[in-house]
Amino acid sequence: MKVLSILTAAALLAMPLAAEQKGSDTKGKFYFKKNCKTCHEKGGAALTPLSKTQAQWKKFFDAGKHKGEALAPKHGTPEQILDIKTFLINHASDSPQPETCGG
Amino acid sequence: MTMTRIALALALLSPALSAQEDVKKQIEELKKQVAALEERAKDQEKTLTKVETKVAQSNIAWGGDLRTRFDSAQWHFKPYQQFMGFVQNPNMGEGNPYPFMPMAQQMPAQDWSNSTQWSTRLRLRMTMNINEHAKIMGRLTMFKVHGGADTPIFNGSPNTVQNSFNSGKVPASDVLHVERASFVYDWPSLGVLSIGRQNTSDGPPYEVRDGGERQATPQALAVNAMVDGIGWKFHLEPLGLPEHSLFGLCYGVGYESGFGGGGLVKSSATVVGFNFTNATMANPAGAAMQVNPIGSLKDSTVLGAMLDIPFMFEGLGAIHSANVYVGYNRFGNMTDIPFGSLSNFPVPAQPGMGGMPSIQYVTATNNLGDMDQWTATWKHKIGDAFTYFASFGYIKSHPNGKTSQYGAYWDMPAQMGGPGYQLTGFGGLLGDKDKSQTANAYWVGARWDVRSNLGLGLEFNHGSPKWFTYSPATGEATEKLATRGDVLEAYVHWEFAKNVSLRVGYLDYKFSHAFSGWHIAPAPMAGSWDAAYNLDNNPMLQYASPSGIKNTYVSLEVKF
Repeated sequence: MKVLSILTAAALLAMPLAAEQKGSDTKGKFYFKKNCKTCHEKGGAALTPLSKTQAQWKKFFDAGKHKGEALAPKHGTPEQILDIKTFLINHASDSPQPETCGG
Repeated sequence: MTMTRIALALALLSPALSAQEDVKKQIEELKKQVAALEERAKDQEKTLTKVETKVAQSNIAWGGDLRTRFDSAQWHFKPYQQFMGFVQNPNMGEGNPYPFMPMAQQMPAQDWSNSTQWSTRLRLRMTMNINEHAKIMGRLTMFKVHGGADTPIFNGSPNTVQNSFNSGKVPASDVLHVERASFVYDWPSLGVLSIGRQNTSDGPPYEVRDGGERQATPQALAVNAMVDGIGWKFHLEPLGLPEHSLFGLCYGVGYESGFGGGGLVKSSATVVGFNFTNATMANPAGAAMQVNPIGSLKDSTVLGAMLDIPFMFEGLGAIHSANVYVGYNRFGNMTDIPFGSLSNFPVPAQPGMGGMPSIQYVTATNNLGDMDQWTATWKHKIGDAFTYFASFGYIKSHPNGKTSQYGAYWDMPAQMGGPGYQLTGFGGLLGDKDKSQTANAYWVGARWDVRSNLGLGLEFNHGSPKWFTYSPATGEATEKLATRGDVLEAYVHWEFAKNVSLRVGYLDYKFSHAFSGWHIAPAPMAGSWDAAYNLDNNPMLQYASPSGIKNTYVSLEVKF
């Protein structure tokens, strides 16, 4: 009962808070595979979140360009680009959660 | 007229002069900006040089986590018979010709609590990139119980024996252990080779509770310990399976019998007790010393295969991320126990010494046979907020008729087990040295992230009466996944600042049978093993086995 009370209280406390303006990690992984890896793997060198540091990914997305062209809409909608950015920064080589084991 | 012309000329020239002034001003402004940029470029050049120098000097990328945890636990023990040794048989006679019998003291139900136990765990993750395809991966771990109790008091549970499988997995001393150290080589179209101390701890779906990324290759229900070996993973994408699908083969060594030459001894023997069969009241000298052979051990090995298929798909308005894991391990020539150290209190009184605590060392005394282990796990994450999983395990022993040398032996009547029967101590594989035994377990759980920084989780696992897994601990003092019985866990995981979390959790263990965590157990005196060591049946035990543990914990977790 104690545990259930704690869980319920935590859920209630969390509910009223406004949703955060952050991209989705899961969607980001999906769109990264769909929108980015298809081309990047053709070149041979695999592109993964580990390819850059968090700061390098931030810089890349802040510039908003890929080979001189705007990221959106060619490489995804603005929402998808934000999701991809979130995923790549969350799992960058110097992040606390770098992607491991292919999982 | 002249004046008029001059005025007109000035009027015409005025805008031109003004424009020139503007251009001059702009040029001056641009000069200033260029100078500022040059200055910034110089600063950045300096910074870049510093960074490049630092990078060149350090080719190790570090990360890790620090966890400090408070546990409050209440243990309950049901009545049991405490094995005390052997005494004269008062009922000796026809049909019961044995002059001695096991002595046991009836113990009542008991409660024990450890209301406060602190621990701190530091894990340093290392990656050293050697070249485009090769790297070294490592993790150094210290898991310290607060205070000076560096070596655990042996309580009958295998996680209170320190060894190189569980160091860093159960709280102990301030020693920084090498939990992982492996050379990894990735052939893009072939697969991945890994040699060394493998990433075999905190595997899937353990990361759901952590709220993080997958940490290891084998499923947690199969192996959650440190294992040394070699592994090869084949990429299955060329066969049309989803990206990152892998088929892996691995080989590891559980006990190296030849280290130091001890395993090569052919004719050594050790005294393990007395055989009282031939002794009578009139002939006490008939109690012959029981000597069992030591030596000629074979290496314990692990040969494993695993299939790992991740899926990602869109549906029902969400992105789904799922994984299927299937694993098989063959544990060959299993020994009773690897080298380990423990604190035993008190040791039996010896002349002139009395009962005193002491650090003891144990090592393998016999190969007991082989064991097959199958595991399968399904994990499914729906969007960012909800993840659930189900994990299953099954084991089957293949004993070779041998038992551990640790314990008390007794030559029993044929109908009660026959000669060389082990009444207490450690016995053979899964409590039966002669016949194959099976066991199974399952583990289900779900995590709901009500916000990106707040997760609620609920897990339940069950192990059958003889269940065993290579899981000495899941980051706490008890052995959740090795439990013979049921375990319920609930937690709240709140990341209140970036990479800093608070976790509040509750673990409720209900043990059905004794010897949780062990792959070995003594045989029963009579009847079935399941009945003899059911904690409801007043079993005879050398060490008390809890029937329930309730543990509330709070931890502060930092990732970096």
